[in-house]
Amino acid sequence: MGILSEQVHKKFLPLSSFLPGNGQYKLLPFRFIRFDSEQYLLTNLVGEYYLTDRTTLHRFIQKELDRNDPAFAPLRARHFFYEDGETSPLHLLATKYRTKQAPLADFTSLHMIVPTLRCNTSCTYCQVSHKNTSASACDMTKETADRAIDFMFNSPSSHLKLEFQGGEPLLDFDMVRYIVERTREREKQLQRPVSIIICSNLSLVNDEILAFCKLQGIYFSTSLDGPKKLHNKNRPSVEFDSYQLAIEGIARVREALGIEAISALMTTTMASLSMPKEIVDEYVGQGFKSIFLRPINPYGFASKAGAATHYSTAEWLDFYKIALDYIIDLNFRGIQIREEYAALILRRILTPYGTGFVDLQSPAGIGIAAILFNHDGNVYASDESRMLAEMGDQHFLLGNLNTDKYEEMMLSDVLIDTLMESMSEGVPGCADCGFQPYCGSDPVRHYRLQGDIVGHKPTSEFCQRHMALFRHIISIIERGDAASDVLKGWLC
Amino acid sequence: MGAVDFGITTLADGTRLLSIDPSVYRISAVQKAAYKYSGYFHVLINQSETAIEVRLQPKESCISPEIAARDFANEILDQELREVVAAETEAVRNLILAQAFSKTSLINSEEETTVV
Amino acid sequence: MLLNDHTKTAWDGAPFVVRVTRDCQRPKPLRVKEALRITEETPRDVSGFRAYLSMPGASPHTGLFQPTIELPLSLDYLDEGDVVAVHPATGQLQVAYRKNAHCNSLFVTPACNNFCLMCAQPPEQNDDSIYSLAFNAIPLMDIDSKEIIVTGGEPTILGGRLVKLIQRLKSYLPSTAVHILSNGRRLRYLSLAQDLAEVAHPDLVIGIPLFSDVSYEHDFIVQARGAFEETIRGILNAARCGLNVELRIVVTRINANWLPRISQFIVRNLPFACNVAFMGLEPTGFAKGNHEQVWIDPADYGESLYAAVQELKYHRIPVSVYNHQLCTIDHRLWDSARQSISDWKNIYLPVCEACSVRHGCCGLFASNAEIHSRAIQPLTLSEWTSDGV
Repeated sequence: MGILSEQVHKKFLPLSSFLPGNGQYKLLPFRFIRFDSEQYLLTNLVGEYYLTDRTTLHRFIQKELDRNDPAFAPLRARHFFYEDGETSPLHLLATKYRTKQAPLADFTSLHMIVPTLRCNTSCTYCQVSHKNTSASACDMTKETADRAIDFMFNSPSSHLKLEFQGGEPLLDFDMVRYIVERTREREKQLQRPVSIIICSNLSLVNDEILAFCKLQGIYFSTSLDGPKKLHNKNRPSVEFDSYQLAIEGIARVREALGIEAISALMTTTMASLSMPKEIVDEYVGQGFKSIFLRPINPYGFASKAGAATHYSTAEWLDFYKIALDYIIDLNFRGIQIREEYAALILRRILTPYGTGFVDLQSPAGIGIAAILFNHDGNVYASDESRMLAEMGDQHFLLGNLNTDKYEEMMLSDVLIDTLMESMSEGVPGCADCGFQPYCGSDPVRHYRLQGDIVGHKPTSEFCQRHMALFRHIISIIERGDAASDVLKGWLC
Repeated sequence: MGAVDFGITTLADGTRLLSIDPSVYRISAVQKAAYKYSGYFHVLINQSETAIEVRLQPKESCISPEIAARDFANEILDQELREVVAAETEAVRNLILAQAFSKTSLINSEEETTVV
Repeated sequence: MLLNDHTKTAWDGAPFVVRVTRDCQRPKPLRVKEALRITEETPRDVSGFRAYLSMPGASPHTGLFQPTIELPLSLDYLDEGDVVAVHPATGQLQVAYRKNAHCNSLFVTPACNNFCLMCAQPPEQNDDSIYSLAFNAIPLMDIDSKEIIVTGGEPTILGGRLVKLIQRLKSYLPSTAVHILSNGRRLRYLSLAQDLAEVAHPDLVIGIPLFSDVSYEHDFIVQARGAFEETIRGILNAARCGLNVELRIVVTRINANWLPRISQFIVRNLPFACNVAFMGLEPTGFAKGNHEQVWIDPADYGESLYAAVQELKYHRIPVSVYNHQLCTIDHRLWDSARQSISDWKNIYLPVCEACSVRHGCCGLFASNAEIHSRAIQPLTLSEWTSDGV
């Protein structure tokens, strides 16, 4: 330890003695995009960002920045460049990159299962053609159900989620019960927890069903499009008042299973566009702490010509911004309600963690994050893939539970090729887009709307929408004001 | 020929014509910029020894072709710089990704095995 | 209050550690490792103790008890269960452990590979006997001890000997929390991190200082080129091996205004930290000589501290504020403030008598007596609950 005796008599050195080399720095991988009329957005390998003007960006790339530039320290700390002798930026970027990709290793977690295609409502935007309530040819058989459960437990995911979709699942409650009981048995054997959710319009909820769900720890998800008039206009039924049943259903479920046991989703139709505040008020009024403002999916009934569904991206964005502003304002006034689309994007931008979200990840979430078992045993790469099939296009059918093996379906060409070829890391426009770390690919949507899985991003609604959302959310964060604080409160 | 402004020639039918110096901008940068603007324009690219010629014909949806054409000119430089960045960072990017998916550290690797 | 002082006499002999007792009837097998506090009343036939501690200014039964060490007044507080290291050659007495202290610091080496501008415990030449004394003191400590801080110097300089020490702490004090204060640089060697992790101590935290998000700024503060790089690699290795890492940011004039960016760096790069502590400067040691460069009144960096703490809170990373008096920080930070100052160097100023939140305040360092915030003032209950604080 000879050096230490020197140290004891050492003098203190100034900052200049610790500066690395010659001030010549080396670039680290990054992307950039014009953000607004004055600024560019730079993003590093894991989505840490920096906003600056075009001149500074160009000087940065040409290695003309020096230590006195205000951009120097933040670009350095956020790993846009590194200097001689440094390796910690590489260690850290590698760790951060692995962290962002970690959800991929968890593999398929969401398993949607359709016990029956029968339904008792005709929602204007329905993405699956419904059958009337008595056609049992569209019910799942026990054999198929058993195979679906086997398939699910093949996934290595530590967050298995089983979600009943339809039709209206409660129309075949016996099958729901069968599937749940078989799943819980297997869960116990394998010591692998599964969370179970039923997506339902709640029209058929009764004491027996609630008692079963309480025993089995099942959650509910339902649709609530907005106030009564809007909801019933979107989701008409000849048998009943959809809104009334939804509200009563929500109350009954909460009473029996607890307020956390039910969540609600809304769909934006043309009629919704003029009432953003009323929709938010409806959610607040019904005691929900969370709302997910999402545009309509372009499948099924929703895609047939009709004023109900055809609105432009710009119109939806206006609606979204008004609603988000209003939600932030409510938060100022002490009403806790979080918008989930914004919360997801915020986590992408501000945290080091990966967020699996099927519709906005790269590689896409089809198959590898979510998968769907149809009543007839057909396995689809996603819910949207099934909707496409109901329209007559089986492009994203992976196989059938009753005839094909797990490996055959999960390694099928359609799945692998689609994932690989549509990855935003590798396609024109996306590969070097400044927003790439936050975005994803949606091959099924692009296939549907533009004719191929990659799509044409300059005219893609998906691209326009997300670019606008990223710009909007980053702008709010950058203001550093109370609104930005509200958003940051949604991070965890 | 039509009116020339900012090096962009406007033809009678509204097509914008740009002549780009290949010693300043590589063809791939021009192509990528063209792709990005293919929502506003129908694009045709011709390359000769001395110039890269780009024809931008405004689509119906293009509200201000004037501005879009100038933005396109900016975009070419941006794309050129993206290529510069990509080329310069390719090796370190591969190292980072290799490190991300390696069980042992490939960087400062002697510290993985030195016994203290 | 002192932990180190001298007795008047010196004699030949190697350094040794003893546990203090007042009980002259101790079971004989225990006496060989203990020092008896003797008074006029101590029976003349008492024997078998390793040493005898006489009252300050008194030498009862001179010559009878060998060796008799006259305690200086400063160490008169030594009581049952305390542990003292004795250096006969110099007469130095060093209190290694106090049974009644909430938390004890175990000094394991005086040597360090950093040279921080504000170091409160300036490094000295390496001295292996320090380690031996610490190692031998451990079995004498009370098994119900709450927490031991392993400090120096830089404990990781000891390499495998540090691992042995931690193992010994686990063996003899299995339910005592251990906090190693280290700059983390030598943990860049995976083998050391692994060996430490393999001890599988049930409650071990490594507290590692981080002074900036920019390498050369950190290096400047710790006065060692390449320190930041090595510390980061050390932190990553520690996390990789499952060790708990606390990040400690001492606030100085140099880094006071960039605290929020340190938080941002931690959020993105070191989010696994089990705690992040912002620490008020202790104006002693090197901090005294470098006063102009390092001292800053907390009242002058309130916004920076608040923003830095808030950033971590948004990301649910546990955060603490150490060594900041409640009257000198934004009241919204009070829930993060901790009783962080060791009792033996903890003081309050005369003005603090009238303060209604004194019981919740960490008070000041002894060295703050002359150098402290201008904002120190007693708070009344109504001020405490208003937003004006």
